[in-house]
Amino acid sequence: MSSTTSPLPGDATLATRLSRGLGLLPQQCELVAALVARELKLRYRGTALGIVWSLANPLAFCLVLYLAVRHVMRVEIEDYPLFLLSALFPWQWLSSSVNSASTLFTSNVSVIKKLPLPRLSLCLSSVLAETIHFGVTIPVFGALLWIAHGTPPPLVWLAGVPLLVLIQTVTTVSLVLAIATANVFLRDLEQLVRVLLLLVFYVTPILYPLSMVPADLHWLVALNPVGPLVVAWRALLLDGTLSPWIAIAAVHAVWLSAVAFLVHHRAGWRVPEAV
Amino acid sequence: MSTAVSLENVTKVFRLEPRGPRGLKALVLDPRSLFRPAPRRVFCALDRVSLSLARGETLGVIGANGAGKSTLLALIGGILRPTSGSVRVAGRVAPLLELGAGFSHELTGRENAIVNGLLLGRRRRDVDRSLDAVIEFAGIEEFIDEPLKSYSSGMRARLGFAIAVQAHPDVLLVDEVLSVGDAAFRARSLDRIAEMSRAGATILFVTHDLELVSRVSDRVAWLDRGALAALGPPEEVVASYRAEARVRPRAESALFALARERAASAESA
Repeated sequence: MSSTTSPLPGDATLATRLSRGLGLLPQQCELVAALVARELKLRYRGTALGIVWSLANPLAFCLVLYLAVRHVMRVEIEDYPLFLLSALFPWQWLSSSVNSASTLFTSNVSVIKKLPLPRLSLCLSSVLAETIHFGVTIPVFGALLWIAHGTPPPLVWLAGVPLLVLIQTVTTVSLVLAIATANVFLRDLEQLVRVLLLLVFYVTPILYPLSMVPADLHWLVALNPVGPLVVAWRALLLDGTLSPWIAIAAVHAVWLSAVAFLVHHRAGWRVPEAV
Repeated sequence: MSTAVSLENVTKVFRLEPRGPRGLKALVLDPRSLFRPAPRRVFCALDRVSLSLARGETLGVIGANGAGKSTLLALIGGILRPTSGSVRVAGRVAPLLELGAGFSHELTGRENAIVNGLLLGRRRRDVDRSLDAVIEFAGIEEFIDEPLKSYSSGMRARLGFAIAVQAHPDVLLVDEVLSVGDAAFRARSLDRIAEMSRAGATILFVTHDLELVSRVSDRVAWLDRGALAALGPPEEVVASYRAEARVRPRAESALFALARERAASAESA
């Protein structure tokens, strides 16, 4: 069995396939850029506030949680609104990407069945659109921090934000690719993912600080692929420190991308037949 | 003459969905089903098909519904992978399997033309450069900045066709799409395909229009239930297909019978 697009004559070696893949890269980047632009246009076409809406959801959620946790349950945490937002913004990025992953392939049937579209591009553009939404929240958070503390965001953000964005993008794209592919064959996944996300939201230190989790349960936070990310984001955004949890987050990104690659490799080619 | 498309012993078997409960439900109802693979139901869409097309050749593909024509194009277009055998294509392929595949109804014709051009594997600057030619060919100048949902189905089809032919592919795959659009557009599309063919493009097109297939193709392939029943000069293959098709019941014959009945009753009245 050979590749469908290999040039005539002769079989493609790994090296020629690799070089051909690299040759396609600029075109694929342009395609992904156009797909991201389309995604953003589609979402905000005809809305008056446009991308500002990407702030509305986490801000409203933050207000509700603030009232519930601070004033109803009376939990004392310093700077609670900022504390919440430092974890809610990255959580929002991950959870909305993963939530839409289940239907990513099943709702793009005409493209997948009729065009030789690299399915990775579809996943990448879906996640990158969410990454842009997240990008909008960073200056907003910086401004809020400045107002609350009277000091501008620290310089360490310049290194930390791109690093964590990279790790979270790899993690999220891997989850999205694996879930979107698997959901074509096992449609239950769509419902399962929704329940799991809810569960992960509560076991991840988002509403509460890591310090509230008993030390002998920290391994549980470390095992959850989202846990180290959120802990690292909060350390960076709120305290201006590069936490050692970044390393654990990177390990999760690596094994998740290996799993996603395997799923894609084993089952991906059957997606156009099964979707 | 260099080879543009070559298929060697290509077989495509589709797995059909197993009957009965699936997914988590099956696991709950019968946990042992996890370890006992469901009886596999398969459908062989293409059976050991071999053919090879020279650069610049035009091949018409005919056959009854479900004979494997679209599967053949999807394999050459790189959308499906053969179960066994090999498919080789030299150069860039533009699969026109459905006009307007991947269009977003909320976006304008122009925005869709850009995304679709990129989906066909073109570079952004080439897409931008040929945009005027696409608009001109589709004949939708005054609507190009309107959202696609306001287009008629004919306009949408014209735009889809214009994008694919302006992509200047080495291999163009056309599946039954020339039947849409009015006579003028159809004539222009055929002219355009002939022009591309003269310029060296290899063209495979699926159609039920036997007049057209004899007129346009260099060779015709006749697929019968997944197997290549004949491959050769258009007149010969079309003649043997016609002879074979006559003995089989035709789907439209009931309609003809109804029309005859109506005509007869109108006469007698």
